[in-house]
Amino acid sequence: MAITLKIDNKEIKAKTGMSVLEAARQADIYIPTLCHHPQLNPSGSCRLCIVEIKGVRGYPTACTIPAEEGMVVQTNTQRLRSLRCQILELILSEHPYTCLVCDKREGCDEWMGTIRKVGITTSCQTCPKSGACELQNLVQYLGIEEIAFPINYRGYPVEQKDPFFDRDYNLCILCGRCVRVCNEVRYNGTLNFHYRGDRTVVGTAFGKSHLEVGCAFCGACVDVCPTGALAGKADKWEGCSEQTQHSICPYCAVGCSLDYHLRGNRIIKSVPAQGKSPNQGQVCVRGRFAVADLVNHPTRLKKPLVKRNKQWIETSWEEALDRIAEQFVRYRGDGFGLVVSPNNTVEDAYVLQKFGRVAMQSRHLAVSSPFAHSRWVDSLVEIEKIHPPHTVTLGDIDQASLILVWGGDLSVSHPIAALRVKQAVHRGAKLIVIDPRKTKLAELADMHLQPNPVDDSLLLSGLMKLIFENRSDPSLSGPQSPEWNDLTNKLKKVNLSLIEEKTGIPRNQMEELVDLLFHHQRILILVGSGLALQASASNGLFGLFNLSVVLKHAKMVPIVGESNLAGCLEMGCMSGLLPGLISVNEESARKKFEKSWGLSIQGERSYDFTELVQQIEGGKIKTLYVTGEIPPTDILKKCHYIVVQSVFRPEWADWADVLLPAAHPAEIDGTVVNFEKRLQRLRRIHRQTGLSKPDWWICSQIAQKMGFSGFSYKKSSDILNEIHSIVPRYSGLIPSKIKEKGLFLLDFKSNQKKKSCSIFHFDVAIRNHEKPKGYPYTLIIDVGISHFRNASLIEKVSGMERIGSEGKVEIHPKDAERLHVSTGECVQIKSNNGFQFEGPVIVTDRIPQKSLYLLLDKKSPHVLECFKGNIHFVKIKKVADDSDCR
Amino acid sequence: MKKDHIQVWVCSGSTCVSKGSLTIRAVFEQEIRKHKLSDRVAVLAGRCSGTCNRGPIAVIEPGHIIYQQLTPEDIPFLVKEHFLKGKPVQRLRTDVSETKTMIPTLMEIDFFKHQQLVVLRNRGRIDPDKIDEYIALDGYAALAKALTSLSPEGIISEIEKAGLRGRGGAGFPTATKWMLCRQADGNPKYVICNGDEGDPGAYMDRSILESDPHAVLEGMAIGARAIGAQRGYIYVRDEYPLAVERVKTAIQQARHYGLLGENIFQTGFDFDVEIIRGGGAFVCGEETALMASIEGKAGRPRSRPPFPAEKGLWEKPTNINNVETWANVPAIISRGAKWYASLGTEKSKGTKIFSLVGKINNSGLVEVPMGITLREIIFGVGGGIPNGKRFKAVQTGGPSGGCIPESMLDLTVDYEALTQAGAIMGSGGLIVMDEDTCMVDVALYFVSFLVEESCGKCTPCRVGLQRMKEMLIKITEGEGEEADIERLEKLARVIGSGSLCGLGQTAPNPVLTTLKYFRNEYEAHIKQKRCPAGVCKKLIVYTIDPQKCTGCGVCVKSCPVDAISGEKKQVHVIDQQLCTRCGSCQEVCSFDAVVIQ
Repeated sequence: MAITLKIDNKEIKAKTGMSVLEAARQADIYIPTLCHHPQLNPSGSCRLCIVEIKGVRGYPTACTIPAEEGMVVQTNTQRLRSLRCQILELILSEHPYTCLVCDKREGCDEWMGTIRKVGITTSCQTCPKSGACELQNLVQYLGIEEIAFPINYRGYPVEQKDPFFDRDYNLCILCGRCVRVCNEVRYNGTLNFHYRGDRTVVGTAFGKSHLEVGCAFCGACVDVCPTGALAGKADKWEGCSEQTQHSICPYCAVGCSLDYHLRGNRIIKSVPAQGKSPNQGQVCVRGRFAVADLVNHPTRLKKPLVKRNKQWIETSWEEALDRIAEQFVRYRGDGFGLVVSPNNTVEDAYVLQKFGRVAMQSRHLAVSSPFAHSRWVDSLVEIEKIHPPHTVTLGDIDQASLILVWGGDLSVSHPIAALRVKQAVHRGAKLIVIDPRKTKLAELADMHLQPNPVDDSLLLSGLMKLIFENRSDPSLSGPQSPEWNDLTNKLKKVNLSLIEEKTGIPRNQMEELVDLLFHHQRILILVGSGLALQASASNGLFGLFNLSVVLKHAKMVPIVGESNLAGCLEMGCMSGLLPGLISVNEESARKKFEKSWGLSIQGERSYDFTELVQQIEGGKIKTLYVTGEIPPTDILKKCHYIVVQSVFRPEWADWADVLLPAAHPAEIDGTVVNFEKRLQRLRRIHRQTGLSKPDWWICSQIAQKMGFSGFSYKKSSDILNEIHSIVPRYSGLIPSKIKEKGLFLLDFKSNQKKKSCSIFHFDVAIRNHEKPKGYPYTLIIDVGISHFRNASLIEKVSGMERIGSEGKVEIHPKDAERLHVSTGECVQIKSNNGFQFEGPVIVTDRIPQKSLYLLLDKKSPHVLECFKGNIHFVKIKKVADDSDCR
Repeated sequence: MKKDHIQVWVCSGSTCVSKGSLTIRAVFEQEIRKHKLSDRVAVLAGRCSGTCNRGPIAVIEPGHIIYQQLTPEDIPFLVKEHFLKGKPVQRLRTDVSETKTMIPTLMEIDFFKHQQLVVLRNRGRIDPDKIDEYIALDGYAALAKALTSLSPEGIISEIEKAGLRGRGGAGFPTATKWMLCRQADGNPKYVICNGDEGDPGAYMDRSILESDPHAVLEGMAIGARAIGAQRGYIYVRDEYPLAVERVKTAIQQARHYGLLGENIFQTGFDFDVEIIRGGGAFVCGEETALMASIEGKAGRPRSRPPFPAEKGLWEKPTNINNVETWANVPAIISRGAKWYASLGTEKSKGTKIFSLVGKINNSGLVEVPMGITLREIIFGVGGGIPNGKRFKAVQTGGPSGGCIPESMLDLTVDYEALTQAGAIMGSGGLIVMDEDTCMVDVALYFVSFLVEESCGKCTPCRVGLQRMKEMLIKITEGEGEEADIERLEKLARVIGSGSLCGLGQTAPNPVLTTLKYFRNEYEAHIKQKRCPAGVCKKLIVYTIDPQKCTGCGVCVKSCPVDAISGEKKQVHVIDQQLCTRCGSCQEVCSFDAVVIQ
């Protein structure tokens, strides 16, 4: 409802529920504030926004008082100005203010162009925030030239021991923004006020370190701090940013909007872009603290390198490309394999697959993502084909009344998605988590089922049986199709007591869950890596999809993988799958591509990523062109010729023949697709490091050198235009229409036939999951995505090693006691099917007894071994000499 | 207890207990048994009568005979004389004031003569641990009346006609507050009893909760009915263990009798109460901080609006009143608004309880009608200033109140008059100061208290008070400049106008009122570097008057820093370099030879 009020004698229109401050701001009336922040609940603590309101006693704060019809507000009277000045003086009396009121400050600004890097900040000249400090602005605005009080320097030690950001509470003005963002927005509860009165200070419980209290290091507190009290370690002394540019975070499938801050040509930090989708002004530790470091990393590949006499020789692009073209011509055909990175852009992916299919006449294409295994991708494609799903966005999490998170630790893999779940729960949504581990989200859940880590299809069969059999029909929305009847019949045979026994989930818990599902109208099922990596991932996905069909108003979406995994698959970087998720077997569609590309396409699905790598051993694959990440494996030695094109050098680079420097996503234009199937624009905001080039450029140069004409792209938009014109599904995509919000691919899906409410084949058979004798533990493997194009963030970004648990085995305290191991000590794990691992343990009750959890970095050689399924039966022993253990 | 029994009420209020009344009661019981008087004399746990400076107290009924300042050694003699010989022991009945006159009965002492008991009506008359005794004196009749013959609006209208105003300090009309909460959207609604009494020297709430907890419960139940609440909370300082125990017992008994719980008096009205123990923060007496504390958050106030009546506890409409306000309610409902409105002044109705402390003969709790003058309270009820000293000022309303000088002693005690004088009614602390009190030091004391107790949320209160304290310290140490007075006034205005909650808004009152009424003392500290009352250590010098010193050497022994020298029977001298101005020599000198210059 609209209301009218008078602010400073000006008639203002405002909406009910707005504060006087919001009403004033939207009418361009400035009222100074310090504790106010648009993302946070008002606090009214700094008292700078005091106003006079007719009929209201005293001086209410504009940020807390609701605007009302007919209100008469004065914001800038002599009395208010005087009070504000004095309040600011009081704030400054506890903040090193000398520079603010120094009469030489102008000369100082001119002659002392850089800031002093000192341990203790005692003036603006030695403060990392100088130039972007809200206190400086206010002093100027209020015209304060003298401060009536001596500085009361509080003498707190500067807190520097935690990773990512430092805290100097001597500069803190106790506005409480950090405390509020930590508790109201991020629900981390890391920060709070301690003590009271003039001893009040912000800190963690019992003064422990941020690491100890489980801080997520999202940096939200740093971004809202108006002073230099909180400052990122990496960007602290870089000086003020000179410009900001918008782009997309290069790491996970959420694809957060980031603002890159630049000084000169250098990216100094990345912060969440305010108010933009999908992340709405929040970002995780990777997006906040691990982007700039990687762009600027000294170990980046900067020049093309060719190997001569086992020596890497820097060379020109011209020479490198010539050499590659010369070699690749020799390996055209089925001996060629292409491995695309899930961090490549849509344009890169399109050009690369076209190169592989057309120029190299090969059908062996793969994306190097643990989630790009055929059983998972094929079921996703099948679902999308038969039952075009609607776009499911992060916004749907906000709308859901019940959220079911099935498998995986979203707080680690896709923290911003987990944040939205947390926020929804705090707004009253119910949360069910199904995962053997007590994940961070499970701590918040209304219900947490911890099935034995065997096969999630089992629990699904049980749930489906309960839904189908114990419920009379009206709420079921099942179509009476043959598949439906088939499933109903199969479910009749499911033995619930056997399911109880195998999953360890008692029937009453299953019933309780089913009850919840029936009670809610807006259900959202989020599928995580826990299911996606299972051997029976396909069956599980179909099962969950069926569940979402049966339950009215339920939506399902997997949240797995890297920044452009979806885009790479969309572009057909998978054997047997053409751009637009079209099967090579679709004769007419294939013909169209052949016509446009001017050459025949080698058909038939061959291998997915791991299979492709393994085929090298058998000699079927002789040449590799790799923009993705292959873990170090001896198999690669057998390859005749390997071209690596990446941002960083792989560990096994010595087995390669050419190393080509690819540009970082911050250095190129292009597009990426996140888990929502939202196509978003990457912008070139940084000059390309060294001689690095966009992947599509390098690839099309090779193709041209090889004599193929269809690769003469000048810029990335040329590629998008080609996609638009030849991929049927993308005929609706107008490249120029990709604005900041991005475009949802599913929204402009072309005229595919919709078959409503299909049910998929779902296997209810119970396989033998007995633990083999001598292998008493079940190992769950997950693959982390703190990895970017051959760079493990854990290794490259200072601080990540202290928060990541990659390469460590989680074990329950009781089991640890039995094995006499404690956190940090080394164990050896062996499975009955040849999987072997050695590494340190983390003793935690997150994992149930007799189970182990191992999060692998993508560059771990074990990644390849676990692609066939993430659950292994293992034995474990302590390694006596743990000197080698990290 | 049979009716014809003689009753010995040994006070079991906190003050008397701390003075040993539990032992006294035990000795009484022992002596009564010894003399085989048990079937004639009953020894009972008495309630606080408010004459705390006379404790431990025992009152013999019938007859209102008061024995005071008892020691265990007195009891055998007392029992023999009083109960066997029928002769009251005069020695133990002598007035403690100057006059040393004998007081025949409790109600005849000055202290009680001027009082009018409405809230404290049952004080000393019932055993607070026995609901039957409360009921016997018409307890819960008001609730019955409210539930069976009054509509919720009718209850509010009674309270409105009675003119009851909040006793927590600001004096907001109770009926208006109830009506706002009644009309607010939202369910459930809550009522809260604010018993987080934190003013130094004030203990009205404690005494009510300890001596008549059912009156508070009954008042809350009536209020809950009027507002439409079904749940109440009593927030009590954790430093009041006895009050907590008594309220706990009272709640249990009331539940047992069906006076709390479901379907009270078969009217379909459900109401129950829970005790929340405070964590010791003064600021939690502020209503929004108190509610945050109940919610399990740190006790920090938030901005109003929204007021608790709209969004209070857990964002639900909440009515919060002080202990004394709630305890007034049953009396109003049973005896009628008209009777209540006949007490007090035009705008301030009823009575007010004060805790009269400081330099006063009869310190204790007093309940007086509104409109009485300060002079009547201090010199009438309180019996004046001890040791023949001159009255200097009275501080009303605790740390948020102001110091009122002698010239204004005829000020009537009501909300408006006190506010106009720069003080506040507050919850009812009255601290009397005599000529030996330095007003700058007093201001510093209260400001220091508030610096400690400020929650630290808003700038003016957190930083401003600290700066104010530093300035006052500077002045009391003789480092003050003339401009400091103006600076103090300016700072006081910022703190008062700019602070978020009542704590900060009233925090400068002690400074402002002392500056207003005792400016000369500030000037003496600043200009002449002199503390007229001889309190501020940096500005005083202890010397020994050679005329009076007998050379006894007691001061030499008492001096902790060996600053006093002198041969036996010779005049002693204080070494000013060594002296720390602790004042212990002055305390021990029997000849008043140690003087402050």
